[in-house]
Parts: sequence; structure tokens; C-alpha cells
Amino acid sequence: MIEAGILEVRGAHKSFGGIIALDDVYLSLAPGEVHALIGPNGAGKTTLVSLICGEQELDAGEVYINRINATRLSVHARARLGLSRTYQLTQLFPDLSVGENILLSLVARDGSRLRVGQFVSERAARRFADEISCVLEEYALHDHRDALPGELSHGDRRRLELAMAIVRDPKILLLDEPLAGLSAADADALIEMIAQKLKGAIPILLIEHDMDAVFSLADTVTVLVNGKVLMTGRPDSVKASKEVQLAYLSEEDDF
Amino acid sequence: MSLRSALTDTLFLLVAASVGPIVALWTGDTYTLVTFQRILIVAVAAASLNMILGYGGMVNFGHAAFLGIGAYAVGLLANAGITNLGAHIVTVIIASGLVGLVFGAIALRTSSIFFIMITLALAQILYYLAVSSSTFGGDDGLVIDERSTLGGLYDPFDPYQFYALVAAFSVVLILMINHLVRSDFGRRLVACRDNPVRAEALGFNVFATKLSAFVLSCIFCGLAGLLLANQTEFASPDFASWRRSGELLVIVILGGTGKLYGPLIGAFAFILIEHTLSQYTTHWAIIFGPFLILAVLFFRSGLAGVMDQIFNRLGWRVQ
Repeated sequence: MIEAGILEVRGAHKSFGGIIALDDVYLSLAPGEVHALIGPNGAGKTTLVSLICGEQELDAGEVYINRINATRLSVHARARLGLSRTYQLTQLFPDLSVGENILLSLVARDGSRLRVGQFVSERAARRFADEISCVLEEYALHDHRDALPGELSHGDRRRLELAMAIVRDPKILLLDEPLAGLSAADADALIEMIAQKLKGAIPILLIEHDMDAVFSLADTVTVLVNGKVLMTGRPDSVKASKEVQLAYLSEEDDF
Repeated sequence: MSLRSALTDTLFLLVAASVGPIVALWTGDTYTLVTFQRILIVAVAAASLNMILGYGGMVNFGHAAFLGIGAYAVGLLANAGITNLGAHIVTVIIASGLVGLVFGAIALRTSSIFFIMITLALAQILYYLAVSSSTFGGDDGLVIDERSTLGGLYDPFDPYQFYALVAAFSVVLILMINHLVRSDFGRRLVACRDNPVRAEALGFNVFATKLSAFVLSCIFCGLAGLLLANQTEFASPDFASWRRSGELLVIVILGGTGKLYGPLIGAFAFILIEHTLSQYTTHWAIIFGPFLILAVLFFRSGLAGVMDQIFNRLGWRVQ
């Protein structure tokens, strides 16, 4: 290993009963790159993501986050190492306003550990008021500050979740099918936002079905098939690979 | 804003606490003070439950166990000749905090119906411990010879002075609970209830946050037990029974789950209704039961919710 990535999965193995979900998977996310993870349904993408985040435990192998061995760490401990993510189905605080959702993310940025002061102080809301306004402005959510997430459109909810994942100032961003369920216009706007604002600034692991988005955003593509890494390489070489076309791309009409 | 809410709280609580003495002076019957003391004590216990139920989503069906711990701690100390209020407070905080830590650490490994059942089971262990142990007076409970004293500063057996102590203590405890709910910690607690997956992904330790809230809530309930023991001069296994825990849940729900003033309003309503109805029949629960069902069906946010609506219509903003 000459240069260790900011996120490293080494020899990941996971099986459920007799079914092998992941078999000896290696993945390395270099600083500043957008790394796309693609593969047909059932290839093990979701399993790999949940292993990286700590929602499930590996049977064998290791996960390094920000060059620290995180294999045995809990979800929140990995988040504290700088891992931030969005979910396939958006995960927000449904009973709290849009502004408070952002507020909690800002609070987490300044220290997600419990401290005695938090039992005494009630200053966070006022301290972050201006910053919340800025964030809401930036993500075009300023009209919805006091609305509940449930009252937002699907596209707005996605943007809110993305904003929450980013304002914590993460070292790694993991986007799990960010375009799923978005209208064409919303999807284009989101791709544009990722390309303009995030690409190059934060290393991103992108799990996505939309091939146009993958090939326009990604610096590196990893193809996962039946729990194994079929290929890792630059988008054009992946696109040109016969193997990949056979295993995956040929069955996709939208390619 | 925080100063304003603290002032509103204090004003509201002082009004609630002064109802008792006003009625007692009006009727000339100091015994009514006992009823109003009970309301304030039960309000503290209910407020401590509301803190984890309304804001943390934890349905503790064994919360009354901590009333028992507070009461027995005071009883054992007082009967051993230690009557200083400060010593009582410290002992109760340590005892209920430690037991709360153990109970919480076990129960919080589960959630939903399993959490309810485990808290119930753990509380029943304490109940049967009290019933079966001769040190604790067994079935008959523990008669307490001496109320907590403040080094001769006040006379614990003067009804008005004693009421003042209970009222002051309760007001301070409820103010502290309200402050915790509004604090930065309180916001994290709500976040952990609202979406534990997102909370963990932001780096919040959901288990530690909930456990902290659980332990604090147990301590507050233990302190309510301290007051209860002083008032009744008695520590009974019944304080820790599951029926008491059920009663506390009923009071929180009736008053309004997750409403800051809910437990206090619920305690007033519950005990005054109980007090009034039981003058006519010992089977007062037959009348109260359907009333509760109607309240749950039609006023989801409880009596505090109804009051909110009335105040809103009048153009006042509360909370």
C-alpha cells in the first residue's frame, strides 16, 4: 500500500446464513475523488455501505476511516471520524422543523459527544441562528425554515438531507442513491450541485443506478457483481470493458 | 427568550403551588393542604416520567419503583436517627441514580413493547424485595418516626411550614426538569427519539443520550419519593407497585405527553377527580376510566393541549 485512501475497505467478507453477500472486497477512496460504486441489484452494494457505516459487522476484513481502523467501531464513532452520509430513503428528524434539522447537524459538527455543559446551556439555537439562515439560503430551503420535513417535496427533502450531511464538515461523504425517485429536473439540479460544490472538495463514495450521472461525476468506478469486485478503474475503461458489459451493463436498457 | 420561559414557568408554578394554602385559609381546614401537597409531589414524579416518555420516547412502566426507593431511603435513614434533609437528598440521589443506571442499561438494550415489559419486570423485583424483607417492614411498610429536618430552621410538623417546604422543593424540581427539556441536551434527546438512525449518523450516541435522560428522570422521581415519605410519614411497598407506575402514565397522558405543563395539569386533574369521586363511591375508577378513554380519543395532546388551544384563541403564547 503506497498511498492509503481516506476510506479503505480491505478484504471485506460477509455472509448471511449460506449466502455470501460480499467476498474479499477491496475498496479505496482517494482524497478528493468521486468514487462510484455500481453493480446490478443484489450485487452487495447496500451490504457494503452498511458495513462501512457500522450498521452491520464484518465477518472478516477491515475498514479504515480517515486512516484509523474502524472495523470494531459503532455507527456514531465512525461518524465522529468524519464519515457522513445520506440514505436511499431520506433519514431526517420528522417532528423537528427544517431549521432544527440543520441546527442538529451544526451542533454535531461542533462536537457530537455529550458534555455536562449541554445539560445547563440552551444557547445552541441562538448561537447557530445566522448560520442556519445561510445554509438554508444556500440549499434553497429558506422558505421552509419552520416547516416539518414531511411538508416538503421529495426534492427538497433530499436537499435538506444533503445539507445536513455536508454542514457537519465531514472528511468523507457517502451518497446512497441520491437521485432515486427524483424528477429529471431535480436530478439534474442535484448532479449540478455535486459537480459544482462538492467534487474535489470532499471525497465522495457514490452509489447510484443512473449511469449518466455516474459517468459524468465519477473519477473512479468500482463494479460489484455477486459480492465480488469485478473491476475498478477510470469511467471510460470501465465503460469499454467487455466483462462489465456482459455482467451488468448489457441488461440495463438505459445505458 | 430563555429568561422569559423561566419566568413564565416560575409564575405558573407559583400560582399552582399557592392554590393549596389559599383553599386552606378560605375553608379554615388545614387538612386540604395534604391533598395539594400530594398533587405537587405526584406532579414532580409525572414530570420526571414525561421527560423520558414525551421527549425520549421511553415508556417506563416501572417508574414508581423510584418513588419507593426515595421513600425507603428516607425511612431507613430517619429511623436510624439521621433526619437532616441534606443527607436525605444526597442519599436519594445516589440510590436512585445507581438503580436507574442499572435498570436503564438493561432496558435500553431493547425498545418498544420489550422496553415496557423489562422496566415493569425490574420494578417488580424491587416491589417484591420490599414486601419480603423484614428490614423494610415487609407488607406493612415502614413507619417513619421523623420528618426530614433543616437543622431547626423550620418546624416540619407545622402544616403551613411543611407545605411551604414541599411546594418550594417541587417547584425547583419541576423548573429543573423543564430546563433540561429545553436545554441543548433536551434537543439531542428529542433527536434520538425522532430518528435514531439519523442521530447516530450525525455522531450522536443514542444509547448514552437516552441512558443519561433515564438516570436523571429516575433521580427526579426518587426525590419525589423523598417528599412522599415525608408527607405520609410512611414508606410502603405500594409506592413502588405497578399500579402506581400505571397511575403516573395515566397522569402524563391525561395532562399531555410531551407538554411541559402537562404533568402538573394532569396531577391536578387526576387527584382532584379522584378526591371528589371517592367521596361518593369507592369504585370511582369506573367513572374515571371512561373519562380517560374519551380524553385519549379526543384530546391527543391532553389537557395541556386543550389549554394551549384556549390560550392561542385568546392571543397568548405559552411555552
